[in-house]
Amino acid sequence: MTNHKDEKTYKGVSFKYMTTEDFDDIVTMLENPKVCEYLFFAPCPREHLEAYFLPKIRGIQDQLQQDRLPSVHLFTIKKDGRIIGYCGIDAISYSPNNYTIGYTIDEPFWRQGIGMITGEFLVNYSVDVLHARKLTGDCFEQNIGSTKILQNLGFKVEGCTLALYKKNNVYHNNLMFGILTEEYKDR
Amino acid sequence: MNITKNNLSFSFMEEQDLEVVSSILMKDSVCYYTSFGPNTKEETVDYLLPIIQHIKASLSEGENPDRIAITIRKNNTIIGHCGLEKIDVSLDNYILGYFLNEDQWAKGYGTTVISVLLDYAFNTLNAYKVTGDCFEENIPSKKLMQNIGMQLEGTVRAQYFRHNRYFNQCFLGILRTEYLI
Repeated sequence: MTNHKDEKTYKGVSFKYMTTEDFDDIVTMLENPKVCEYLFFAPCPREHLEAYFLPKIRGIQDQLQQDRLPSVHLFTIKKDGRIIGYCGIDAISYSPNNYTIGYTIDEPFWRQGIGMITGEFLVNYSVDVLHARKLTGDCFEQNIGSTKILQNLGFKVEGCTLALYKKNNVYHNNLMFGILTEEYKDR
Repeated sequence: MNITKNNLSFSFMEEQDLEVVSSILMKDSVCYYTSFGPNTKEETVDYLLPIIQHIKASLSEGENPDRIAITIRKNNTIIGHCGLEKIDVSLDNYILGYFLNEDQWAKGYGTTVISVLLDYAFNTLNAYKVTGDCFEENIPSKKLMQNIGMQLEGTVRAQYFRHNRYFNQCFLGILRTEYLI
């Protein structure tokens, strides 16, 4: 039986449900403007990150304490014992077994295949543990790295929302990707 | 707000409108291509009453509301409602929505409703963009948004699970620069 508290190691990278001890490293990572370049919400004051992350972390830890599968899936990514990013899987309202995935990797660990490994972990976890039927992902249109990762995972472009985000007085288009689980299995 | 266009009148929703608006949203036919409903009266009131209160509070402070519910009348009879809501990730980007009672379909009223919403969004709220969405199978809604100049931006597969099956969702949008040509 899977213990949801356990760290899961996949291709040399570890994933574990986020704890409050991890939070300071996540805040530090999100202070780097390069890490935030394609994030609509960051950089931002620490209080905003606390308001977003801490209730989720507490909910996760409460459910893990009760030996339940958390209803929120927010993971810390580690390599060689060091926090190098975070990732998550969010349920989509009004559509059971429909989830959206996302991740952020710290700058020193870019271009090492970590994004692809993280993407594979998220898709595998969504399919095997959450029994997902459909997954979506999205990124700023100019985020070539994430676009390639999603496409290499087998996601198809489902649309491009114009001017969805306004950051530093510049509007950004948002690419939407999706994959049905039978497409992932057939890949 | 008091706007009249093509025999329809539009005004900010008031509490006394909720009885009729709720009765429309109780219908399977009206809610077939929506992510929710049919609603009980309580569900509709729980959703719309805070918006009515938000409109009043915003206007009393001389500000434009971020969420707007508008009652649609024909010959002083409520035939539906529509609205605009600011998208929280983008400061001047709104999403529109509308409902017409089933006996008012296929009369061209949808086009009037959307044109009023776009006029209000771009000219009063100073929107940069307005988005709309519909189930892919809802051809009339998709067509009327396209006919008024909204561009299809994408079709997200299996976005909603309704009536025991999945539905694709179409996203359409129009930018201020496209609308005010």
